[in-house]
Amino acid sequence: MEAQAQQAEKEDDFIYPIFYQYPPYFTLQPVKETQQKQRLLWKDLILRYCRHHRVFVVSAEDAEDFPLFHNPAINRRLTREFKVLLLDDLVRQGSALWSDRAQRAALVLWRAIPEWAELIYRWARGCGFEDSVVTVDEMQSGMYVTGTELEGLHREVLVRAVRNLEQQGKAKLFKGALGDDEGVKFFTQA
Amino acid sequence: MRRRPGLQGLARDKAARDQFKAVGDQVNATKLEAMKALMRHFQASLQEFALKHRQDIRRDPVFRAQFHAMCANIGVDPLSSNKGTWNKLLGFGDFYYELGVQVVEACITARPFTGGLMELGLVHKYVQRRRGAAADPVSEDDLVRAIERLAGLGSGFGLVKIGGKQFVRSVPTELSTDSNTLIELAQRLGGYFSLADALSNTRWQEERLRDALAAMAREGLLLIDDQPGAGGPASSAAAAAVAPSPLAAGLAAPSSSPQRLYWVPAVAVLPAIEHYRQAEGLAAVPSVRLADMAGVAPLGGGGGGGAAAAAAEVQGAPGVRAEEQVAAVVAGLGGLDLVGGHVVERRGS
Repeated sequence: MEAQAQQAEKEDDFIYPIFYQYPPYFTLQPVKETQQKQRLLWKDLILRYCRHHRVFVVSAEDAEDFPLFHNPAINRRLTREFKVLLLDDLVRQGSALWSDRAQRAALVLWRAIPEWAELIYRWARGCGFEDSVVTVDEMQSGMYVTGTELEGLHREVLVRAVRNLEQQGKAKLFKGALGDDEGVKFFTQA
Repeated sequence: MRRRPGLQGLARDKAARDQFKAVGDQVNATKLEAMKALMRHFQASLQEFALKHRQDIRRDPVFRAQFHAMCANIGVDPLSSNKGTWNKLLGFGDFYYELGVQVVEACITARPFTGGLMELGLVHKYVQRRRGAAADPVSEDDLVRAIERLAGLGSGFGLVKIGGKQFVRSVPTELSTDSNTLIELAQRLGGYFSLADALSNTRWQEERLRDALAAMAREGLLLIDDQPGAGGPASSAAAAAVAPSPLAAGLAAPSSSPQRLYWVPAVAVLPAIEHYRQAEGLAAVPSVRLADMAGVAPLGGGGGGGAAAAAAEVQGAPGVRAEEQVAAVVAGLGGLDLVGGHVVERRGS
């Protein structure tokens, strides 16, 4: 039964707001005030959706068809312009980063970088990794992160969070000899 | 015998008049006294009646409406006196005050969605749900009374009748007759219409229709739907027309999308969506799980238990300031999940 519940959770127990089913919300409204409300609603929905599904990369490309931006039940999908506009709103409020200059996809930070940093540091201390080196790969998918908040964390987000820890003097990022395997050394705080 | 004019005659006349007047006054005084006594008696009876049926009046919306009608007939307004016997007796002040808060809450929560116009029936559903199952039921009549109280605040709250249905207005603007006509049309057609629908139904000049549409859009009473994605992957040409150009171009030149639809969110949204899905043959497409409109009411908490708890809290603490409650609701709006009458849980298997 527990497995079933987990399955259901994995599947989609995400609750959509009613506007997601209301066709005009897929058209950018020409009236400024209405459009602001519309963009605010969408922005919140994107963040909530990504947090729920632990999604980090949201594509703005038509070809990719990010599931949230297409509601087949009413046969509506966001145009690329609309998607870019929304993701740009998120970028401007610091909740996302464009992955590329062409604005093909954005990295959605449903937790702010300092929050991720805090989580990572707490995790490292909890595992007793102070003064030792952990590879970035291990922090993404190693046995110590299985079942924790950090599992499957996007590499870019992870690195940025570690950089944040660096600034606080809590960790240091090392480049491995091959350039591919990066490691993090955590420090105990005085 | 002919009476001749003379001093004595005049004096006699005057004496007679005085006597008549004295007797008249006396009669009047007795009448007044009797009247007063009757009124006292009547008021006492009414109070006695109210006290005796207090439970019924509070519990039963139909009985309450009848009581109000009776009071109105004899020129007593149990609502107008905030202090005094009536309020103490029935607690009406609190009752309608509380109801007013809930109406305001419903309207304000829905406002970003509905543009400030909401069907009374929907407000009623929201309020019922907000109060929880344990609370005494309220009728639309009660809501109307509560809204009439709100009107006194000058907040723009009021009732509008459009096409045989009552709407609660929570914005100060007056609706033009053209807007009324179009809202009525949307109501008749299931929540939305196309330009062609509107032209054939109103028989207006296109110019007039476009003006009316633009005005409604500005008020937030009308939303535009260019059906992006309805015909395969979205073309960027369709989007370009929508981009930054405000009303002039955006509304008046639907050249890029001939089947532009106009949606009126004041008309119940969920039935409109269902109607659209039926009309477009989309009924079989599995739908996502939608939020319940009551989900927004319990501040921060979710689920039915939360709603009941929130309602109980309102019931139990009439001292909580209305503004605070409303402000908290508005602040906690995050998800904006309201509008609609029922939970939609239609998931594909």
